[in-house]
Amino acid sequence: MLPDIETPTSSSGGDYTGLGRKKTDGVVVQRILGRNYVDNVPDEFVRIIAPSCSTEGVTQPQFSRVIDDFPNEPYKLVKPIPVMIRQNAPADFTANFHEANIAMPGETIEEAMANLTTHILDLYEVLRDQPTKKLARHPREQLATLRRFLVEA
Amino acid sequence: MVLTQRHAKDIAEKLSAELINKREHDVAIIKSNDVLLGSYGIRRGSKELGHDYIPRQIGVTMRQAQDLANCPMSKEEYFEEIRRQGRI
Repeated sequence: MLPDIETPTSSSGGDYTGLGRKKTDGVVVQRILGRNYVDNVPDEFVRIIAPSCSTEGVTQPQFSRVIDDFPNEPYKLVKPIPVMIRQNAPADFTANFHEANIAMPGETIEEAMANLTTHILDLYEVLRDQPTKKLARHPREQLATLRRFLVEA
Repeated sequence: MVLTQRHAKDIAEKLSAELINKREHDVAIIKSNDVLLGSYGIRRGSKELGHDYIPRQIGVTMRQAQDLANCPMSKEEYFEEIRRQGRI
């Protein structure tokens, strides 16, 4: 449960002033009210940091998680991978590792997280196996970022 | 939802991307002159979910990604756009 959330008085897409929110330790924590599907996710995820806007300008809930393990994979994490999950629709989530510009969708938060985790490893292997001169700037930067987070066990 | 996995596959086909089947989904690899320019993951599964993260991963706007999927933008125009951005 989020404490001391202001009661919203109105809601308009892209304008957060009508949404319940509280500034805590410098972080604006917002709870989007009036969207029924927000109630479909566990309470622990009903904490929305830096809401984004969809292409239609409608505010979409975002949830913060981390990848802290690669079970049954020959890789170890140097540090947890921060993930932002955006809920696009009742059963449509996108998990995003912003620093490496890698994302994957899923029907649930858990599926999106699992898909992102395996995609990170898939992409790491693809990029690692390319000669550096065969990587353009963006994938080279992705590989460098991935190497800051994971190592081969 | 603007882009689905159907669009993701159409973009991959348009750009002659290599589709690699690895753990649980596909990885689309975009290359030009044997240099890897970008990539994105495509979820397997019957339900169409949003793949709106693709434009950012391949260096185009949402509109351009839609144009790639729906035909107005050609493969050559895409590579020209990427070149213009200095990604090649």
